[in-house]
Parts: sequence; structure tokens; C-alpha cells
Amino acid sequence: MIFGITQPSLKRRLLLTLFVPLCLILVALSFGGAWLVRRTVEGASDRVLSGSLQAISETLAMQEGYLTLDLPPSALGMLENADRDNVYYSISYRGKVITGYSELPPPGNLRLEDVSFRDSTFHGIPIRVATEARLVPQLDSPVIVQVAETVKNRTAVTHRMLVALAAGELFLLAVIAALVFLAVDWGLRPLLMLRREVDERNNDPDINFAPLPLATVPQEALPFVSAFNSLLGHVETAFQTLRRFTSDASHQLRAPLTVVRTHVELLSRHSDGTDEMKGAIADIHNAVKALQHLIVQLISLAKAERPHSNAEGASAFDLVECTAATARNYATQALARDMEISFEAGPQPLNVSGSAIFAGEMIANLLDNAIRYGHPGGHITVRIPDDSGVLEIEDDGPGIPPQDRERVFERFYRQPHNTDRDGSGLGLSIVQALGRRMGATVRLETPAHGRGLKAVVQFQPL
Amino acid sequence: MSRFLALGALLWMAALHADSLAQDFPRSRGEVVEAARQEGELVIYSVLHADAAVTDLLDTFHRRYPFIKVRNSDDDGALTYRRFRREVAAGRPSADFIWSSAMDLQEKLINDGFSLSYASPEMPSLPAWAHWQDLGYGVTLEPIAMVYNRRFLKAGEMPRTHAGLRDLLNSDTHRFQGRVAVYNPEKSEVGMLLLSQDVRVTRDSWNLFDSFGAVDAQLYSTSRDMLQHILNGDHWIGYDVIASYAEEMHKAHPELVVVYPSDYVLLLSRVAFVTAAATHPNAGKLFLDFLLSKEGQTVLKRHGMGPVRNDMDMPEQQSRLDPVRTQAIRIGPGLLSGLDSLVRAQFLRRWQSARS
Repeated sequence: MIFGITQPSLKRRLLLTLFVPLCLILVALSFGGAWLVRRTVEGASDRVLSGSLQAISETLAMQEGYLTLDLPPSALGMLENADRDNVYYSISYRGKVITGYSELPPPGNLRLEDVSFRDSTFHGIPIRVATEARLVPQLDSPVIVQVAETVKNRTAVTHRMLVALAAGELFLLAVIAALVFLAVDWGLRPLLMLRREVDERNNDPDINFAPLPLATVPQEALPFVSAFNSLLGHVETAFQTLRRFTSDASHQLRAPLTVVRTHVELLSRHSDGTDEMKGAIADIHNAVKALQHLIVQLISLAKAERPHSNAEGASAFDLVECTAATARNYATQALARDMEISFEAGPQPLNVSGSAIFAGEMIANLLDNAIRYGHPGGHITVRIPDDSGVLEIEDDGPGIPPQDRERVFERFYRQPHNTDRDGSGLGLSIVQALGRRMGATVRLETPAHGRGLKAVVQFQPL
Repeated sequence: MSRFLALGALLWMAALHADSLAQDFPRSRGEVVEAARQEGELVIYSVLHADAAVTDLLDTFHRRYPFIKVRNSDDDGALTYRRFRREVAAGRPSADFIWSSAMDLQEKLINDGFSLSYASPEMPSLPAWAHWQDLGYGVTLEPIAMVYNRRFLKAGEMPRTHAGLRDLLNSDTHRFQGRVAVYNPEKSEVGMLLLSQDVRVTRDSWNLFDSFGAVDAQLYSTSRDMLQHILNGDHWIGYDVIASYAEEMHKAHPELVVVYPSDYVLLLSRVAFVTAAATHPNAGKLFLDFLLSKEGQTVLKRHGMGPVRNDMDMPEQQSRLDPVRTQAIRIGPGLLSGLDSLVRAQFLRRWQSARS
């Protein structure tokens, strides 16, 4: 890679594909331009030189046996220029210079009445010479008139034009580079809008599988976006199938499990078998209870994730009341593990947006976690510190290391050291899913005293 | 991308550099003065024939630049030209600075590359025709006039036009026999220049020259000689005299009257330049700047030579000249035509036929 960057870039590719041929074209243009400039400058200067020459040669005449010449000042004056070119002329007859600069000897054979040009030198300085052979009446051989000028002006003019040409070409390159940048940015802007749309869906509590709008997509990106849309469709089908399957399976499992549990309870009550038998029945009972808990949670998760099931998310409820009620329900469960739940909140009700049922479920799950994973004999604090809609549930248990705090929200994720405990690994997923329904967020922190775990739920204040 | 930029920058710089090479950067004034101090000397060839003016000029210049020792030699235009070319051809040290009223010879020296290109800081104050590029500068503006001696011509008898002079001479060729003084075009470069300029202005000049032949006009090489002889009474009328000399003489001898023709007046410039082969080029540049400066022009004006600067007036006697009627001899390659041997031979043949 020329540029040492591995990520492909449209701008770079466009620039490369444009610049290489463009540079070649410009080089060709430079050569062509240089040739043209030289030709044009030479042509224009030669015309003046030829004009000067003819103004002189036209005045050649024989008068009373003498060759006479009326050298008009303008004939030589017209060759004046800002680059201080020197002017030379000579008039020769029969190979001898009869007037003018003797350093400008006549060339060999010349065609009559025809102005010819040649490059030569005068005392080592390059000059351009115009020559004309003219037949003057009464003279047997032609008189050769030559006018020459140094080439400073031609060189300077050519030079100036070439510099202008080069500057123009560089300017063109710069403009094209700038245009490529602008064009790529402009061309990709619809994709940027698409990206914003996808970003918004990422933040949406309900996953939106609707196809991306194609109206603003540039033609070139249409195949890609269409393919992506059809992928979205596939994903949605698969997702809905899976969700329906979980819900259906959970419901289907619930009935037989209730039968099993009823019978196991019946068995344990009326059993008079051995202790071993009693132990086995107790084990089965516990397992069935755990299974029932799991199924209940699966169903509540499915309910939480079902999109737009009802409009209860938009209504309001009293967070203080709801929290207090839920905490009361868990007091016995906590006492069973020698744990204490304290509730800190102001006396006034605090209304926040959402549904009391969902919120109750969230708080229940969090309390359940705190009791389940906290130290026996530990302390759980449920706190509503102010009226900003924040609820904190804090325990002094082993906590969750910061690097795992994201993962525990995943379904069925359980920390390695907890796998022997009964628990479904769904509690926090349910909390998050319910929270999303109401626009509430959940995060895990370390409590102020440095031990245990603090779950912070931010409800949407009204 | 960076490669293209680097390549572009390189090309650009090359272009700029090449362009800057084409121009010569003027050195600052202080540097020129310092370099002239180092040179300490200045050799001038002048064609002035006016000792008072020369002395005055050199004294003023010396007061300004006391560290430059000036050697001035004053001579005839053609002699000066030949001497300079001979010395340069032989590789001997020659003039650093030449100024001469033989405009065509000066122009030939410039065209043949003997002049140093120097953009005088005084250039903006000069009319465009008074300098050829930055190679040659006209330092004066001197009308060409007719003169007569009041002792021999009646008041109102002296005509104001060229045609009038011809009629006067033709009216009584016997009376004016030997009484007219003109330049000798065969001996004087300035004379050749002025008489052929007359012919360029109007072909009628040949009729006048024929009248000169009829009254057997006497030929001279310098304006000064002509004026002296008119003052003596040898001649009554002088033709194509450089007015600055005449006005100088008129101050002391009021009987010598200067007449500026009303049909047209030729304006002659003394052409000056620093020579390309100068041993003391910076001193030469200082002298050129001095001549063109208000100070130098004021000295020249004091001696009757009209200032060439746009911001200065002509001397009093010449201030009434109608600008439309003046024919300034333009500095430039056009002057070369007057030096052409065929053109000269033709002119002189016609001149001779007028004399006979």
C-alpha cells in the first residue's frame, strides 16, 4: 500500500484513478502547449520581423544609376520591445554587404521575392534573421535584404506563457482534488442519514426490523441497502419465531410442571418411606420449584419484550408506594436468610413515568438478586434519595467486578462462581427489558462503603 | 496525496525561480553609492562644447559625491564615437559614461550592446520618448532654432517659418550671397542628424537647401562656430542652430537674436548612458542619476539646456514654444536609419546637387 493506511478510502481511490490519468494528460498538454506557445510566439514575432524587412526592401530603387534606399525610422522602430532586443540589418548585392551591419552576411542560394527566416548568431548572441531577395529594375542580380533581432523578447514571452500554463495546470489539479473531496462527502451524505436512522434504532427500546427507507439511498448503494433490508427481514422472522417458541414452550411447560409439583407435595406429605426416599422427594420438590421460577421469569421476559403490547408504559405511578409495597413482600424471604431490608425515602409520594406493575417486577427482581446473592445476615438498603426518579438497591454481598457488569444483563449469563446457586440468569435481563419499556435505565455500581453492589435505576420523572 | 503535493510544490517553485531569474533586481541606492565610493573615479566622454556648463555640472556633482574623481574629455560627436569603439575593440579602458548630442551614433552604440542596462530611479519623471528602455536616456530637451544678427537685417525682415526663410533668400540671392551659415552634413554628425530630420519632417526642406546652395551658404561643424561667425558679422543668418548655445550668447550679445520657427521646431536630446564595459559603472550610474535629477537638470537649465523632466519648465525664452509644433527626435532603433550608408550617400548626393 502506497499510503501506509490499510482501511480503503473512496477519496483516495478516486484521487488515484483521477490523478494518474490526469497527470498524464497534463504532461501531454504541457508538451503540446509548449510546442504551440513556441510556434505562436515565433509566428507573431516573425511577422513583425517580416514587416520590418518589407518596409525596408520596398524602398530599394535605382535612381540616376545609384541604388537608393529610404530607410524609414519606423521600419526599425517597430522592432522595439520591452526586453531590449537589438536590431540589425544588412543589404547585400552580389555577395557583398553594401550597407548596414557587415557582420550579417547574405546566405547562399535564395528564392526570389520570398521572405525566409533562420536562426543565427551575432557576436555569439542568438538572433532571428529574416531575409528577402529582391530584384531591383536595372540590376541584373537580386539585392538581398536582411533584418535581424536578438531573441530576448521571444524567450521572455515564451517563458511567461509557459509559467502561466504550468500555474494553470497546478491550479486545475488542486481544484480537482478539492472537488473530489467535496463530491465524495456530498455523495455519501445519504448514507450518513441512513446511519443516523440505524443509530436511532439502536437506542430504541423495541428492536425495529422495518426495512430502511430507500428513497434517499444513492443508486450505487441501493444493492447493498436492499441486501441489508432483506437480511433485516430474515433476522426479524428468526427473532419472532424464537420469541414465540420461548413463550409457547414456557406456557406448555407450566401445566405439566404444576401437576408434577402438586403430586410431589402430596407425596412428601403422605410419604412414610425411608429418610433416603424423603430426601429424594425434597430434592425433586426443590428442583421443580426452581424450574417453575425459571418458567415464570421466561414468561415475564417474553411479556416485557413483546413490542407494543399495550400503552401502560406511558402512564404514571407512585415510585415510593410501589417500592415500599414490593419491599414488604420480600421481607419474609430476607428474614429466611437472616437479612434485613431497610427502606429510605421521603414521606411524599413521587410520581414517575411508567407502569406500577412493570416497576414492581423490576424492583422484585433486583431484591430477589440482592437476597439470593447477598451474605446471609447481611443488610439490604432500598433508597429513593431525592425526587429525581432515582432508585438505589444496595447490598453488602460479594458484588460484581466492574468488567462483568455489562455481561450480567445478557440472558442466561451467570458469573462463574455462582453457577452452583439456584437462579435462572434472567433476572437482570428482565429488569433491563422492563426498564426499556418505560424509558428507565439500569446501571450497576459499587456502593459508597466499597463492598457489595448498588443497582441504580433511573426512572423518567414526569 | 502527499506525493502529488510535493511534486506540485516542486514544479511551482521551479516556475517561480525561473521567472525571477528573468528579472534583474535593482540594487538599493545605498549599495550603488558605496560601490561608487570604492571605485573612486569616473571617466566621462561628453560632446558639449560648453566649458562653463561642464565646469558647473562637475562642481555640483563633486560637492555631492566628493569621493569620486571625475575625468572629463569633451570632443566632437563622431570623434568620440570612433574613439570609444576603437578603445573597446582594443580592450583598453574607455569611458564609463558617454553623453552626446549625436543621437544617432549614441543609438547605434546602444543597439550594438555597448550600453549598460540601468533603471534610473528618476525614470518615472521622464517622458516616454526620452529614454529607450533602461539603456539610453535623453538628458536635455533642446530646440533647434534659426538665428540672425540684428545689425544686418531690418526689424521684421527675419521670417518665422522655414518657407519664409526660403522666400527671403530667393528674393535676393545676390544680397545674401555667403551670408548664411549652416551645418556641414559631411563633417558634423549632429548636422547630418538635424538636416535629415528636416527632410523627414517635410520634403520641402530640399527647396530650402537648394536656396542655401543658391546663396552659397557657408558650412560649419558646430553651432558654436556658426554663432561666432554670425556675431562677427561674417554671416547674417544661422540655420539649425542648437538654441541653448545661442541663448547663452544672446545674454552677452543682444544683437544675436534667436528665432524659433512657428511651423515646426526640432527638439534634440543629448543621449547619455553608462557603458557596458565601464571600469566604474556605479560612479557612472550616480552621474546619470545626477544629470536626470532636479539638481542636475537645474544646472543644465541655467546654461540654456532645456530640462527633460516632466516636472520642470523649459527656460524662459523657450517656454512659449507650441507643444503641437515641436518635433522631438525620438530615441530608439529608428535613429539607426540616419546612419545607413546608402541613405547617407543618397542624402549627400542630393545635398551636393543643391550646392552646385
